[in-house]
Amino acid sequence: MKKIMTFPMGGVHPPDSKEYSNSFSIRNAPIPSLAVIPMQQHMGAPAECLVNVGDKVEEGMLIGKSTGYFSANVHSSIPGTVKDIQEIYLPTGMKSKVVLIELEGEFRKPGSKSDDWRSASPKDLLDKIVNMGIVGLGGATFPTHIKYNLKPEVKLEYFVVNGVECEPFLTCDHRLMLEKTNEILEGIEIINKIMNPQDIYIGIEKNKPDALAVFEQTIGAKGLPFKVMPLKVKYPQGDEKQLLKALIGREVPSGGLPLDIGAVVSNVGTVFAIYEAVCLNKPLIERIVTVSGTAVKTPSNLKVRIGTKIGDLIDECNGVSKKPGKIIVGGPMMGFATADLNAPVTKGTSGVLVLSVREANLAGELTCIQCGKCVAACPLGLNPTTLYKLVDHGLYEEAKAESLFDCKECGCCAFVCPSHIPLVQGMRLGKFMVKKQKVK
Amino acid sequence: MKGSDNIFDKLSRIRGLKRFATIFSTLKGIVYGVQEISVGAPHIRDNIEIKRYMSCVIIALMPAALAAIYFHGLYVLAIIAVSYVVGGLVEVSFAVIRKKDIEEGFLVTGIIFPLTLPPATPLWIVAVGAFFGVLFGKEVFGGTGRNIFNPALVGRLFITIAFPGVMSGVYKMPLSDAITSATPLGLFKADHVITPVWDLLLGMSAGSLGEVFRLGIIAGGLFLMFIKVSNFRIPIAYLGTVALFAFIGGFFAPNVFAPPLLQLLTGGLLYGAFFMATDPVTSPMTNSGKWIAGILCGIFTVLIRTFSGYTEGVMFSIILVNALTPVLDTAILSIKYKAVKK
Repeated sequence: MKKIMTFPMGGVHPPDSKEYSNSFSIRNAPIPSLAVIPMQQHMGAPAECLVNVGDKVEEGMLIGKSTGYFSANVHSSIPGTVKDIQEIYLPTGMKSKVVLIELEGEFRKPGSKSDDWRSASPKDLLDKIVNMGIVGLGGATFPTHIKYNLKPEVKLEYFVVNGVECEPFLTCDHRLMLEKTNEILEGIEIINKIMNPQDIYIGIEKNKPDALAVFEQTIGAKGLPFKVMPLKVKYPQGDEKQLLKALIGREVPSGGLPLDIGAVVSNVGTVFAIYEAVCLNKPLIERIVTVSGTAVKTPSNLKVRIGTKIGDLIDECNGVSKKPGKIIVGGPMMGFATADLNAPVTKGTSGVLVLSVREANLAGELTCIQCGKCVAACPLGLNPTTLYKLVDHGLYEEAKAESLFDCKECGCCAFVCPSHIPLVQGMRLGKFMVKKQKVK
Repeated sequence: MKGSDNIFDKLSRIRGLKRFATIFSTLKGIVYGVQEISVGAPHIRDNIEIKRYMSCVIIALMPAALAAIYFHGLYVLAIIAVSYVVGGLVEVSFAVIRKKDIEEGFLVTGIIFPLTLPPATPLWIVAVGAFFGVLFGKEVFGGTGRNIFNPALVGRLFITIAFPGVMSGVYKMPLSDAITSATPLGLFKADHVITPVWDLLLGMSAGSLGEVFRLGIIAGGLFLMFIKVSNFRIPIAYLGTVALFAFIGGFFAPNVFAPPLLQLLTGGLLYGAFFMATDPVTSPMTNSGKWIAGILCGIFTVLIRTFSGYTEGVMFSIILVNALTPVLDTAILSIKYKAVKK
C-alpha cells in the first residue's frame, strides 16, 4: 500500500458532491447553431482576430492569432459564416472581443491516429502545442507552451499530472481519466518526449478509487515508468502549489513558478488535449464540461464545443428540477456566478452548476470575531483576516507587504468564515487597487 | 431583495422610527431569516456561522445555569434577567447611535456574566457589573469583535474590586440560605481542608452560581469542543498546566500548593477554561498562540491562588492573558508564516 499524501498546512473539507454526476459517461453536447468564441480564453494577452464579418470559416480554422509569447491561438469550433464581431463581458468579468459564427457547411472527417510524434523532435511537438492553442484546462488557462518551453540548461526533475479535481461537484477530469486512460497515457509520453523529466507523477485524490485503479492497471500493463500517487481528499489540493507540496514536499517560492523548484504540472484535461493535438491534429475546440448542481434535472458530463451557450447545456440536461437560485460557471469554490445564460463555454470552463434557492441563500456579512479559522484554513499560511482589514481600510501597500499577492483566491478562508465575510473579494480588490496605483 | 413589505420594513420606513431601523432589521432577521444571496466565490460555505456559534454556547451553558436555579432558587433568574436587560440596553443603544446592526454578542455575555457571580449578589450590583462590562469591556473598543478583554470578566473584575465587602460575603451553600465565605479553595488556604471530589463535581460546595455544578460544565465544555465551536487547545493547555504546576509545586511544598485534583475542581477554573478563555474574540487566533495562552493562564492561575491574597485566580489570569493576545499573535505570525522568498 502506497503512502497517501497531502499538503501539510491549511485546507478545508467541503462536501465533495461528486455523486451527482460521477457515474455518467461523457456524452456529446449538441453542436451550437451559433458559436460565440471569445478571443480572450487564456491568461495573458488576447488573441488577434483574423476574420471579418461575412467570412467563411472551417471547423478548426485559426481565427484568433496569438499576439506574443504570453498568449494563445483560438480556433473556430464549428464550420460556418462569421455573423458578427462584438465585445461582451465573460462570466469572469473580463471584457473580450467575441466572434459569432453561424453553423453552415461540413464538419471535418475525424482523421486517423498518427504515431509520427515518436520520431518528431521536441521542438516540433512544442510548436504543435502552440499552433493548436493548448492552454491549461484545469481552470487557470495558463498557455501550456510557456510551461513546457524549458531553457536548454534546465533539467526538469518532475512532471506532475494533475488528476486531483478538488473542486466539489466537478467530475469532468474524473470521467476523462476513466474513459480515455490510454489516450492520456500517450499524452504523457508525448510530454515526456518534450521535456524529458526524471520522474512523472500522476496525482489522484482518494475519492476516485476507480480512476486510481485503472491508471495503476494500465500503467502496469504497458510497463510505463509513471507513478500513480493517491492523495487524501482536501481542498485546494488541485492547486499547483499544494499538489507539489503534497507530492514532492517542496514549496513554490513567493511569486515564483513550479519550475523554480524543478517541476511542471499539467491537468489531465490538458494532457488529453495535447494527445488530440499531436496524434489527431485537432486544435483545442472541444472540452469536457460537468453540468451539475442540486437543481439540475439530469447532471451530466458533456463534450462541448467551445462557444456553446451555457443555457444550451442546461437544456441538454433537461433543464432545472427546482427553482434555481444561482448559476455558476466553474466550481463552487472558485467559479463565477453569472446571470447570463448566453455566456459561452470557453477553454477554462470546467463546469456549469445550478444551485437551488436554498443553497444560494447565505447569511449576510457579520462582524469578524477573530476566531482564527481563516488563519488555520489558509493553505499558504497567510493571515486573511488582517489582509481583509487592511484592504477594507484602504491600506493597500501594507496589505501587499503582508504577502497579499501570494493569495491564490482559493476561497478556503471565506468557506470557513463563520461571519460570512467576503474575504476573497477583499483580496481581489486589494490586488486590483495595488495594480491601479502602480499604473498611476 | 424579496419579501420587502413585511411589517418590520414598513415600521422602519415610518419617519419618527427611522433612527431605530437597526432594531427592526434585527427582528426581521429573527422572524424571516436571512435572504441575502452571495454573488462571489466561494459559492458554498461551511455550515457554521456566528449565530449558531452563540446559540451553541448558550446551550452548553444550560446545565450550569439550570443547576444554579435548582440550588439557589428563582433569585438566580432575576440575576440573569437583570444582566440581560442592562447589557442588552447598552448594546442596542450603541447600535442605534452608531447606526450599525445589533450584534448577538451580548446574548452570550448576558448569560456568562451572571453565572460568575456569587449566589446572593444584590441585583443593583449585577446591573452595575453588566453595564460596566458591556460598556467598558466592549463598546468603547468598537463593539463585538474589537474588544481586547472578555466583557463578562471586565464586569466581574470591576465589581470585585469596587465592592470587596459585598462581594466576599455573599457565597452560600447550595440548597441553603446560610451565608458563608468558605469556598473550597478558601478552606484549603485557611485550614488545608480538602473537599470531597463528588461534592465538588455535583455542586455541593460554596461558590459562584455557574461554577459549582462541575459535571454539567465539563459536559457543556466537551460538547462545544466536539462540535468545534470552541477550540480544544486552550482548555487542554490551561487545565493541563494547572494540574502539572500544582503537582510539581505540591512535590516541593505540599502545604502551600493545593493538590492537582482540588485545583482542577475548585473555583471558576473549569468554567473559565471552557467558556471564558476560549472566547474567540479575546483569545489568540493562531493555533500555537492558543496553546501558549492556555499555558500562561494555567501558570498565572496557580501562582495567584497560591501566593496572593485572593483565593481565586482564574479571572485575573484570563484578563492578563487577554492583554497578551495581540502580542502573541503578531509574534507567532511573524515567526511561523513566512512566505518562501524567491
